Amino acid sequence: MGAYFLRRILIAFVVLFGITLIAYTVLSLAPGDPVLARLDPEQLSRMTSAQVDQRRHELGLDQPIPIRYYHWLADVVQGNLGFSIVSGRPIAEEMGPRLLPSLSLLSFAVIVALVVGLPLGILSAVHQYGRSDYLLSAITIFLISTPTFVLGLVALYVFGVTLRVLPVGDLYTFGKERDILDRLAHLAMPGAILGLVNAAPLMRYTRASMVEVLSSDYVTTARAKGLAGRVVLVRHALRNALIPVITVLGYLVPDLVAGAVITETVFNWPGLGQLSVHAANDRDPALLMGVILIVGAAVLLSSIVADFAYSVVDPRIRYDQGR
Amino acid sequence: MRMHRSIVGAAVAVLIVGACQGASSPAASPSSSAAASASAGGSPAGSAGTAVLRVARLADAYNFFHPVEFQTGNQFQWYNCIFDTLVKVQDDSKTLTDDLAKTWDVSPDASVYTFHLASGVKWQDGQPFTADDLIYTATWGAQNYDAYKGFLPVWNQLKGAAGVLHTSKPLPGLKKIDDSTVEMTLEAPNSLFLVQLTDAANVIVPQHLLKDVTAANVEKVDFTLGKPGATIGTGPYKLTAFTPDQSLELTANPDYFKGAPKIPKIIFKIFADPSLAVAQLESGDLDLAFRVPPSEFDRLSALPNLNVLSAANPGIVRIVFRTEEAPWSDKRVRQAFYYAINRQGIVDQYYKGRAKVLINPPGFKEYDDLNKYAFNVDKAKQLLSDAGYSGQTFKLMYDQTFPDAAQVMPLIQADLQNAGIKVELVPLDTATYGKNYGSRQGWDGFIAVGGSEALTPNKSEQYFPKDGKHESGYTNPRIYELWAAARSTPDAAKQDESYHELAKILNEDVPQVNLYSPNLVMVSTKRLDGGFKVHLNERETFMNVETWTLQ
Repeated sequence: MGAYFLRRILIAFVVLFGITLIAYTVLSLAPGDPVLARLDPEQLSRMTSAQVDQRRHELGLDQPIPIRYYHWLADVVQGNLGFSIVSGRPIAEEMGPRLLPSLSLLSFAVIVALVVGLPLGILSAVHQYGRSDYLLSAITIFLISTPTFVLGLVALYVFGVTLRVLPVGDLYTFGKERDILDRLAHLAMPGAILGLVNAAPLMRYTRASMVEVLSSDYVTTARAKGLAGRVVLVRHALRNALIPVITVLGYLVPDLVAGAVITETVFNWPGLGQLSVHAANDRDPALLMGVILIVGAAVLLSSIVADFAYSVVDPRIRYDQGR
Repeated sequence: MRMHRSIVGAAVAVLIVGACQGASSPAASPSSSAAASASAGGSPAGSAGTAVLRVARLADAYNFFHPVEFQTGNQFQWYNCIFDTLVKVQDDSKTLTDDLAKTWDVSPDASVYTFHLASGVKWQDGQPFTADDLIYTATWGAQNYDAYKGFLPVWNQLKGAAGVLHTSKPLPGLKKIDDSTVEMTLEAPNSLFLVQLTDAANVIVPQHLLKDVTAANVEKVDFTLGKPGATIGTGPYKLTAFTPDQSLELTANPDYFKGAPKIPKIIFKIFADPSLAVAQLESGDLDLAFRVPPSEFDRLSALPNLNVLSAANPGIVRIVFRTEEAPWSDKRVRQAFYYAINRQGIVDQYYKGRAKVLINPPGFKEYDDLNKYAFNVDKAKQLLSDAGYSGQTFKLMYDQTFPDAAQVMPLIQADLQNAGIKVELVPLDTATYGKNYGSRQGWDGFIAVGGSEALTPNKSEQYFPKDGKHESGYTNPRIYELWAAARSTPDAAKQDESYHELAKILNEDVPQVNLYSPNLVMVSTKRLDGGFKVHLNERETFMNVETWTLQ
């Protein structure tokens, strides 16, 4: 088993390399020019093309893509993510203060997704084709199909502007930087929206898994033994039904991250998602590469952790058996 | 291996949102107003009793504090709070008022300026401000003039400035008469020097903190990066906290030489998306906002706690021709564009009056003897046939992030086609637009927006570079003579004579078709009072911030 995970980790590094190679190439080929993107036309009208070329040379943008990628990779291996073309600050310094807001948003969203998605999925499965099942299905379809920014803006106007029960965007109220309750209040709306959007697929998975288990032979056997419905449900069905859900949870991470990009933009939440939007806007490839590297690593790690948890929870799965 | 797909998916999402953001205002406004109308009837109530003014200017911000990095209007407002200039202007963006210079004398030919500095001025770290700080700022600026990345200071106009570039020599045009008097001699007379001095590129910086800073390291020092305690000016507010791309916290400087500011704290918020700023204006979480999307005007105007101002824009929307290429090199063809486009119609229909048709760039007078080119399709057709126009396609390039482009460009296209001019619209992202602009490829004309030329007609000169390789490529030598003549005299009537002739030439030759100037929307809480008034050039509004009050 140790060998299996060692192999998984090595493969993850190769995958991560592939991701950065593809991302770097795509970013380099994308239309737009980081030098020109920074200048407003008024300023541009005063610069000669020689001056523009000089800026491009200073930033190393006049070299071929493979060489630029090689330099970038060599720096990254030495722990240097490079500098943002736009701000001139080290990438690590740009990303550092944004990790915590992003992590808090994501953790809050995962909790909401679990607390909402799991019980409702079970409820749906137990009452399969019942009224509550149809109602919950309708709600999940609505959540899955409505764009996050629409949900965000509607929530902002309903709970923030009209009802005044929650703050309208930002990380905290200015002057209350250390007030934990204030921070939680600010976290509630973006966290809940991101969580609900991801609770919907989680609920669908849970329902499907539970339906399958409920119709399996051992559940029928347990019922036939005369066990109480609740005992069958919790002890026999639920435990087994949750096993695949663990994997699904691991794979939800990339969706969560993608959703966070939008949620953070709508709520002015100073996390990595917002930073990546800034970086894309400004055609700041080094900064965008930093974000992609960190997010890619986090997603790969989460899928390995999910597989590991899977093997721990389900004794039938031992990755190296029979070898 | 589904995780690959997921990661690429996340990366693609980042890129897509980035791309959408590029077109932020046009893309975001419809959705936000839709969401807003769904919850119309919000009950706004300002959170009274707060001594903090929360401000946002919904435009690009650049996270630096040394004037070499001054590139955005947001920085203009920050700099006006933290630093001072020698002179400032009132809300008409013209009438001069004192600042670090208490009084000044100008020689009759507008080439020698003597500044008598205010007394008792202190840097925010307690050190006294002296004439040496002014000498340092101007000298360093001239010695390192090519280090300025954005808006440029005036120090290169001083006598001998070119000779001190990349040296450590003193600046010949600068003379310290005594500890509180400095004389500046210009290379060429410039009657507009004082007004130009009010630009935030000319803020005076502290010698005692920056004397060892060079062009090579200026970007990296704490002063430039906005570290509280390191970014020190003489201005009414101290920088007490700064988070790049998020917010600035400014605290009143009790020792400010014009008197302590009345509002204890100012927070500048930086928004990634204007719709949230609009929501915060409604909920009372934002007190003052510049450049609010015009589509929000009606809704915000209905709120009882807000003043909503639709103000004239210092810039103008115009079509700039590539005049070196036939048939656009024929001025009759260019004049036909003027007659063909129903400019007043666009302003009435689309802007509902919140824009103004101008025959000149703002700053010029609308002289009576200019051809106003009233909408006349027959005349346009006549001019085109006189010029022998034979249906060549006019490629009209524009930056698709230009507000209202999606709505207005088809109107312009339809009007021109109606007069028989074939028009192909070429919407581009900002970067490609800039690239094509520079290479002069892929367009016969482009839409230019903005500009801060409202201050004086003199500023418009930058849109007619002498090398003929930028903008319209129009290089009539007479126009440069006229601009120089206007600069060389302090006599307003004589300046006006030059500008009048200039306006006539541009009006006749039409290197660019001036369309209209869309208003800007500014929103402020009614609690904001005292000396607060949005300046004609809105970025200058904080020049008298110490007099503002917040109830």
